[in-house]
Amino acid sequence: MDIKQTVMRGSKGAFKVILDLIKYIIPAVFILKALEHSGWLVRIADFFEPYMSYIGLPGEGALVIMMGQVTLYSAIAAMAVIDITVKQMTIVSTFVAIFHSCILESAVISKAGGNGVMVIGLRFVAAILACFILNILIPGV
Amino acid sequence: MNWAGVFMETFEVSFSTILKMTIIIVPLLIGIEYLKEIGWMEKLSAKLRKVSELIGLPGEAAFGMIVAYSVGLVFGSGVIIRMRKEVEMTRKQINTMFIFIGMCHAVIEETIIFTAVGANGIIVLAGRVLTSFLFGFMYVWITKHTGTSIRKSSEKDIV
Repeated sequence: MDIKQTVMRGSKGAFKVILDLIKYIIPAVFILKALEHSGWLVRIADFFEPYMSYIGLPGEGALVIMMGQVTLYSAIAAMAVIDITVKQMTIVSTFVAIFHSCILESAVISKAGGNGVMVIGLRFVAAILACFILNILIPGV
Repeated sequence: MNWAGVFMETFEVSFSTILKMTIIIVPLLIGIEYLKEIGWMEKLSAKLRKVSELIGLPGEAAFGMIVAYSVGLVFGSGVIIRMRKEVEMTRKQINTMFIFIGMCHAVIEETIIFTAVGANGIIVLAGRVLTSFLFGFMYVWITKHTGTSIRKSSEKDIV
């Protein structure tokens, strides 16, 4: 086994991931910062507040979930912008980890011969259920 | 609106986030590459064939699922597509597989990234694995006990 080649292959993969990070994080942060400065972030957050409170998230959590539908990296960018507690961070991470990139992934599943809409729908339900339970189980705010 | 502030803050937040991710991801991917080289996933999947058969999948599916669970869907799909050339699978089996690995994939990379942004990675990981097993086994159980799935898994539905 050649360690050098392993490192090379790993670095090549890492380089691709970093390019992806740049491609998705900068636009996501820009959109959120523009929303924040224009006052729309608060308005959107207020709109989603009542729904998000069921899973213990502030209204801004909705934006992380929406960004997660682009890529998981965009969701991470959103988490870096908004100001939330560790518990809320854990809950919203679980949500986007289970339910993300819904359009793209349902297309992939359908192409592989499965029922994309059903699988994605189930993931949405699963994400809500998991976060609802986590909100009860994790102590603190 | 203060566009200068928007651009400045975008630069600051993006830079620190990308830097943080880079520091984590580079050694991580090299580590994963090393694990692939020593063939740990093949060893693990040989042991998990029985589990794979328990959820109504061919034993060959275990390897694809292990890859997807640990490393990610992209690698996992590659393995699954290669496997599908050798093993015929029904629509129900494909759905089962994607429910399991859809809710929970790339756990090594994603758990570490979520920890880096400030979440409790262990809870996120446990939550995903449990949810994926709960819904996966539920789907297997439901399709086993309803008439529609029996028709669905007939030869006509093999894709």
